[in-house]
Amino acid sequence: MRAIVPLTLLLAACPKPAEVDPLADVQVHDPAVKRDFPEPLPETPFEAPKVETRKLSNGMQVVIASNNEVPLVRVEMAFKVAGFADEVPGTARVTFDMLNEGAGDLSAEQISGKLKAMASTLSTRAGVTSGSVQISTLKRNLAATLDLMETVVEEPTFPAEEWELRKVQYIAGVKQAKADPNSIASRVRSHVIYGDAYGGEVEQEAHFEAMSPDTMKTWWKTYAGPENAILLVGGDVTADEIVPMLEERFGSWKPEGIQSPEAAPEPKWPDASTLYLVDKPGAAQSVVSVVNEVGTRTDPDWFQWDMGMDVLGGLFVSRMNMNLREDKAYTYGARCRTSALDGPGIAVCSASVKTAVTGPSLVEIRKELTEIRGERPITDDEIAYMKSTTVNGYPRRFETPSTMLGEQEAIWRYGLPADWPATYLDNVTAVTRDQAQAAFEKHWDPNAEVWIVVGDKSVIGDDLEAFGLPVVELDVDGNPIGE
Amino acid sequence: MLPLLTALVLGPTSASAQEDPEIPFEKYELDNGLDVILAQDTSTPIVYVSVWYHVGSKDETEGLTGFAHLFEHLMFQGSLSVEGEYFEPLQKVGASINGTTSFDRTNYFEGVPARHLPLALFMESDRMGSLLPALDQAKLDEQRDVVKNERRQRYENPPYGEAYKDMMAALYPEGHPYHHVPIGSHEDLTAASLDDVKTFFSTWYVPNNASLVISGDFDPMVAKRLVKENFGGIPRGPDPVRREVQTASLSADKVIRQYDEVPEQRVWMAWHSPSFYAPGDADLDILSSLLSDGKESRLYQRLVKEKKLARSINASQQSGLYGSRYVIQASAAPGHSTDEVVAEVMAVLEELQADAAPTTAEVESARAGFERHFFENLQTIQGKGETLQSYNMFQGDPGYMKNDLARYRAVSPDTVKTWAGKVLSTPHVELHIWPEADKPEGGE
Repeated sequence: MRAIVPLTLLLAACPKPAEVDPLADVQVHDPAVKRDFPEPLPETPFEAPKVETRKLSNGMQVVIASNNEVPLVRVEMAFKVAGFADEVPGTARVTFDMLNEGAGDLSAEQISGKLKAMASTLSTRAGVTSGSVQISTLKRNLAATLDLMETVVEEPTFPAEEWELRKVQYIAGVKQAKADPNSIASRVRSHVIYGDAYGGEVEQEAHFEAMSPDTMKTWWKTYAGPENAILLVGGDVTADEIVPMLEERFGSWKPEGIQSPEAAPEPKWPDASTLYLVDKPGAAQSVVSVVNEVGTRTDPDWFQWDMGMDVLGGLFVSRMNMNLREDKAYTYGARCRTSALDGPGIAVCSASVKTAVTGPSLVEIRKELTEIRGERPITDDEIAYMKSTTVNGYPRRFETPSTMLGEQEAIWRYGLPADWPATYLDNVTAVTRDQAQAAFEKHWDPNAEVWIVVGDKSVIGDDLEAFGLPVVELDVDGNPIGE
Repeated sequence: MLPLLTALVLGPTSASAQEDPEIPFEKYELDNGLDVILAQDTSTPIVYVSVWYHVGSKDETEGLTGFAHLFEHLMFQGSLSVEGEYFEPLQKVGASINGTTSFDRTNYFEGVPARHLPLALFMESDRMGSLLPALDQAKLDEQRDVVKNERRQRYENPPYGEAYKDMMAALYPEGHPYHHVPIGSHEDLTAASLDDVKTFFSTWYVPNNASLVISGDFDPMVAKRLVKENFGGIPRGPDPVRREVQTASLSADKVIRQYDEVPEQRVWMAWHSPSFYAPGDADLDILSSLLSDGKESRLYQRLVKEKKLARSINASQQSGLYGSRYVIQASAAPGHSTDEVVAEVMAVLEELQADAAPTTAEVESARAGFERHFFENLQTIQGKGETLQSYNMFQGDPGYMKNDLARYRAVSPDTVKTWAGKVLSTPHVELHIWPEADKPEGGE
């Protein structure tokens, strides 16, 4: 059915004087004629919504971003953990994942079944510096879903039978990661940069064989407590509604002296720029990346660095993608990004390129990195463009509560100033071209670049040698071959 | 349409209606046939513009597989009044931008600050009305290579990346619109010419084969004026002629075995099933949930937990305009083969149709998840806009959400059993992909 009843027609049916077509005076554009870009509409005043911050009686901080457009609520309990300090790599992640495999007197099936019947979800995730338990639910099932979350967080049982099933998944995951060129690239990158520390010791089948429900129980007791957790609430609930519900369930969870996360170790950069190769015979593409150590989000020149990095490769229209994709068609996409953990931050520029143009791609990436520091420095226009992107794009960050909650989590996790969100736009707009240029030159060390290529050595080997850096061949775990 | 406009004026009439998700909208048509759908949401000063062209890889002719998607790329290469990159003026105002091509349709969208609605409509109308003057061989050649790289990155380099392509090719006969996947083949991408681009554009990219949605913060009268100004002068084209499509079926099971550099044995089982929104489509969605969603689900319980034959298993109804597929995908557990997995899956499916019929609790539990999805789509103006577009294209009514909800509410244990019986008793495709090392001696 294609029922189309124009509004004007309905209005015409009303007992009113004949309607004049309000669009009669509109000048219709002729598509054969070239035209100028349009003027924007008048500015809409925008005041960013605010979050509310409360505390439970045990000291746990609660941040609430209310948004009643849709009757959904999410509650996340985020933890500061030091997965990088785990004796067996992956223990933190596995422990979080196992939380919903059994808790209190509930089996894995019972937890899963209760959630499904309520159309709620309870998920966990953990990386090398963070972990979290999150629920998402229709508002009418909030209390019952929070009950489950309480049980899962405070009384996890880590059943051996479920661990045996999970273990199979992790081991299969390792096998899959070793077969996938993109996963290989990120495994190797961590290992080259961090050695055996800080997530650098890549996950192996044997690690999972070495874990047991007992190690998880101990881990959870040792590292997870209200004193290193924050509650982040978003959606159709007010602070006055949710805080008593959280107090009732988590307020009595007493701090028992959990072990504080260790400070993250510094990366171990090679003494000189080096190219690492992982051979992937028959690969249709080479996954190439170049990595450098950069500052952290608390550095005074963070915003300046970040904007320079955006000029280089942050957006579709940035230099790297315009060159490697839109000009040369070597790749589906080339980007640069900075990942700033609570320890060392690293910057990565990467692309998957056609095998035959691996050498030329490396040359173009290096050209961009060199020229931005030399003959083609960052321009005023580029800085104006990036500021415009951020300022204009600002309201979009508030469409759902997630950005606001993410900012609050970052303040708590990285020790950012509390006024970080309030001063964000001012910090961005204050950046000058000279500052961005200086920050880039200060942080990017062209003599300590880590280049990683995963591709077919028999085809690209000569190109890599010709690139001029020492070439070290690694296996899929990041260990030098022949050592 | 009348009930919707009334709803806007009177508000919901009953308690249950109040709890149902709804997207208030207004739809009208320009003289050139362009559908226009407006949905106001003033909660944040942003606006989302989406254009759907009712063409997808299903409409590609022989020798031009992948063309609809290649064409989508060319839509970002500038038009008469937009010199250079389409992304440039839009990213400058903080827009989120993209386009996607599926079997059934191609869409383009940008989320922009409310005050830049004129820009978004200018850009979309310029490529709808004035694309060809800006296109040349160099742009085609360049994007052809980009698309080939996309194919390598997404399908050729990852393990199992081409399994879906092979499954579809086996399930649908040659000549059927779903026989090939949207990414197409290198050979056909190479063959695409500038003339093909022109023909494709004038055949499918006409306003009478497109729909425009504006959702978010705008003044309706301002929006209507802008729409008329920008799109009103684009001439109507001939109504596209769609080919006649025979309902596909299999006369016998097809078992395909591949050996590749992959880490474990995986299997894809696929049956033909009722098309998008046809009777049975929602029932099979519910079936998928009770088969594989959650730890108490039937396939998980039997294959992963009890017998430990599979390490993971998933069932899904994959809906399409010209027919759907019911797909069960599994990874064998170490030490077991996908043949054992298939045998056990068949046993569970038979029990479901015999004495272990679906229960009310299973159906209710599954239904809850689908009802929730409707609310999830309402969280963003993109979710709202794309939902309206989808209902408009597939049902001719952007307000179809209430009917869509109703079809899930009508599902019962009996209907699930009936549709499981109808679909899963027909011949199916089985695609096994094994590591080279598992290849039987002597080969097959």
